[in-house]
Amino acid sequence: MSVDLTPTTDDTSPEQVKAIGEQLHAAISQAVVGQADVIQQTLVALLAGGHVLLEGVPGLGKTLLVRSLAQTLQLRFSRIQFTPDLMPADCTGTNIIGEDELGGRTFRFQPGPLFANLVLADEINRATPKTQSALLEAMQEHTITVGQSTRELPQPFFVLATQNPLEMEGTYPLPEAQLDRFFFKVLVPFPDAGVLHGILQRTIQPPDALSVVTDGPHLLALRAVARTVPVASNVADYAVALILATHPANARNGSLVRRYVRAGVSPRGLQALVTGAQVRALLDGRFNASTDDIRDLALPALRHRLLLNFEALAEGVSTDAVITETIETLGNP
Amino acid sequence: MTHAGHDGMLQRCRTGRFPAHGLAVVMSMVTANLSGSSLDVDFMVRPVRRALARDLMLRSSARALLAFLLGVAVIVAVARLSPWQPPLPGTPLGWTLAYLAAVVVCTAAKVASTWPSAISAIRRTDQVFCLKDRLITAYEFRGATSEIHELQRAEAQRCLGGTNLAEAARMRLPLIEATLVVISGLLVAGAFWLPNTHATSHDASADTSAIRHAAATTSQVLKNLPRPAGQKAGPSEAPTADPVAQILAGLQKQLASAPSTTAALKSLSSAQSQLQNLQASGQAASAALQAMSQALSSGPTKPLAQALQSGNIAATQKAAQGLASQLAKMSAAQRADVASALERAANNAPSSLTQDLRQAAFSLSDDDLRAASQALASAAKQLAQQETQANSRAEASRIASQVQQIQSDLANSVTASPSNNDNKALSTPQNQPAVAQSAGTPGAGPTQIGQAGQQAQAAGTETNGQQSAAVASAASAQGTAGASAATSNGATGASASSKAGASSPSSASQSRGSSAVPGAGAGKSNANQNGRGSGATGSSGSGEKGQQQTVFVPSTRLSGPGVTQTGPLGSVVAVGSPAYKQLIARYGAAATAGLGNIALPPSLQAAVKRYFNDLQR
Repeated sequence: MSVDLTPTTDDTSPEQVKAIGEQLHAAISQAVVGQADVIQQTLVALLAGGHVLLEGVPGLGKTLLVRSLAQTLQLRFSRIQFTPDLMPADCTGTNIIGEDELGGRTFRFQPGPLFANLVLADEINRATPKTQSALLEAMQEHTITVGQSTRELPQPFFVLATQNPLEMEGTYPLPEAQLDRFFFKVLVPFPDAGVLHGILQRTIQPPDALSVVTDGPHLLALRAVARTVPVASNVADYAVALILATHPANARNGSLVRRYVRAGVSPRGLQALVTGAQVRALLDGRFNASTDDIRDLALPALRHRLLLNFEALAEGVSTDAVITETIETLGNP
Repeated sequence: MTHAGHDGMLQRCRTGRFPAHGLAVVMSMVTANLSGSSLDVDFMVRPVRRALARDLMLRSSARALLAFLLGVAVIVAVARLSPWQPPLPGTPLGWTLAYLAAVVVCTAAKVASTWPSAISAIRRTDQVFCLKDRLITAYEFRGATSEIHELQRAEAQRCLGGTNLAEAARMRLPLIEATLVVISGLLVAGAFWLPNTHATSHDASADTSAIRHAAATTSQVLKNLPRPAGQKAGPSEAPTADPVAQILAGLQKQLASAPSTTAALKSLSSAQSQLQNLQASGQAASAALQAMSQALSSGPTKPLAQALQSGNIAATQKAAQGLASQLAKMSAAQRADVASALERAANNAPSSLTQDLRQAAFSLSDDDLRAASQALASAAKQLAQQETQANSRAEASRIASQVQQIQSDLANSVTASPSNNDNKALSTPQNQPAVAQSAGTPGAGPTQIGQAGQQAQAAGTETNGQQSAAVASAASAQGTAGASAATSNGATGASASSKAGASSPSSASQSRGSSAVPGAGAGKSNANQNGRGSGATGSSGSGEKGQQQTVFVPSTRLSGPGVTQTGPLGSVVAVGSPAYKQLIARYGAAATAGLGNIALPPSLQAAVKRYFNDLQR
């Protein structure tokens, strides 16, 4: 597979965000059939500078999506296959003994797969919590500390993790602290018949190589532009009200929150909502975040940050249902 | 835009498609702002703001009206179903006005506190036209100069072009609120259909008070009746032998137990009828005694005749006893004269006396002095009864006028009550002929009323409403013995010189039927405070030109020559002219004075004056 390394325009105007987004979407869609919402949400998280947790049954193209994304963005891509015996150093890197120029033995840091722009943490829930926690600093701080040295990760740095909702035996659910560091949790649905036909078509006739849309620096610039998108006070108020409504003690919450939620959404969820709304507005061709953006991004931004109690687990109440009811309870801003 | 239209637009917003039908005439202010980068959102959404204000006023007014109507319905229901009395302060109207003021104040405060601001208008526009907060963002960041803010404003301006901003606000009252207002109005109307116990109780108390007053007045009249010597005066003791007192006592009992004003008025009318009957019987007795007196006026029976004329029962009995005792001393010729006189008297006497007088005459003719004496003694007793009846006539006349006054007072208090429907029928409508309760004093005979229209109806026509004086019966002497000026201002029978038992010139009037005397009897009786029962419009005089009618007024007996003339009502006795002239002058003066107190058309007033002037000639 060839990669077109022709750099894209250096235009960082706000209108360019939409263009880049459409190009990326089109490029990825060449490889990943269907899943338009998944691609869109991933792009939003990408442009917002966040990490994405993709959850879906095996074979839906989660890894393909990340690979395709890496190809179109001309970013250094690495993959970490999480297994139960994976060690933290396998992710972060470690000091190894090596020879210097003089032939002497010294410790040399061997970077791990995290030292990439786009890291695919495949089946992240299979690794032990110790290994999972190795990603905490990298995802939040974009640094890795090994020994006494803290090393910066390359920018842009994205972690796209995948996990299988089935086969929970032998897996280690991500702790809340780590879940909270993912910008979005995107559910990859099973494709319908039309999509399956498309997959089949691409299997028989693989598509051409994906074209490079942009590069990392441009992506960073566009990210900065996205952060300047104006957010009106009513939009911010709505986002705050939505976050507060996920807490059981709040007066404006719905009945499901009061009954099934153990802990509400953290402030990171609010940040994810608003920054995601900014990016989504630009991708939509608008230059302001709206309450519609907040509503549309509520599920991917909040579903993994809401802690349900045992009763919810026993009754099979999902976080999506709770968030949906919360949005309906709040009504129109 | 209706609520349904708004929802439909929102649905289209969710699909991401801009409402195509929402595009309308481009506002001039929008095109004026398209050129520059400055976007005066506040100015552009002023139509929306005005529309929101109008909508707020409309909805607030509807809600205030709804609240007011519900409150009024409650107040009216409470006032209707329960008497409004302490501890409830104020009146229902006061409560209603206070509640109205409270509703107005609260509504004004609510409107003032929720008066649409620029931001609310802008947000409303964003919502209705699915602008995804473009306008509000442009408004909040109107001072920002960065590239993205400029782009954002330009995009907002572009999206705003072509929209009819006035559609952003709902202009029509929601159906549910309009329905609730209608329902509240129906509740208020329904509350007014509830039985008005308040008015009923008020009227009932007013009626009870009026009835008690009537009963008290009757009791006073009864108390003031002349008592026979030796009988103690007291409100509860009535001279049982006096028929007038018996009537009054019965009336007093009936008034004390009258359940309503109607019943009380009926009792008063019944008492008046009884008094009139008593008058009639007394009149007949008086006439008979007069005839007897004439028959006995010569010879040895002259003292008896004089005693009969005086009306003194004791003197009559004494004269009769004296005659009986003198029979033995008389000569045969004298006895024959006495027998002849007694025979003549028997021909004119009432049936109860006839036998005794004839027996006396017959016994005298047979020289049976003992039988004659016994017959005379028996006749003396009968004579006493006849005199009592005759004397009671005057009293009955006087009492009847007082009872009439009580009746008119009660009727006045009834018609003054607006909700007393039962008694409306009792009030005299304006165009009815004169209704006068004429308690004419029977003197020489019944009242003969000339052919002045329907005077005959007026005389004795009993109404329970406003009593208007039958002036024209000019002759309807009311109250006392012929001295009453029949004209009254509603108060019937206000007699100028009514004195119980007074012997005053009888009133005789002569109505000359002429076309210039319309409605003779009518004249003056307006009486009612609110003009009702002005009944005495009287009837048009139907007199013919040049035709003379003679009207006689019963009165007490007078001395002097008299003329017996048969009239349409039977035998009458004319009264003396001088008394007539004096009385008719009084009538005329009273009529003229009364004209100033009632609302008669000038033509009728002139007719009344003309009538009395003619009578006085």
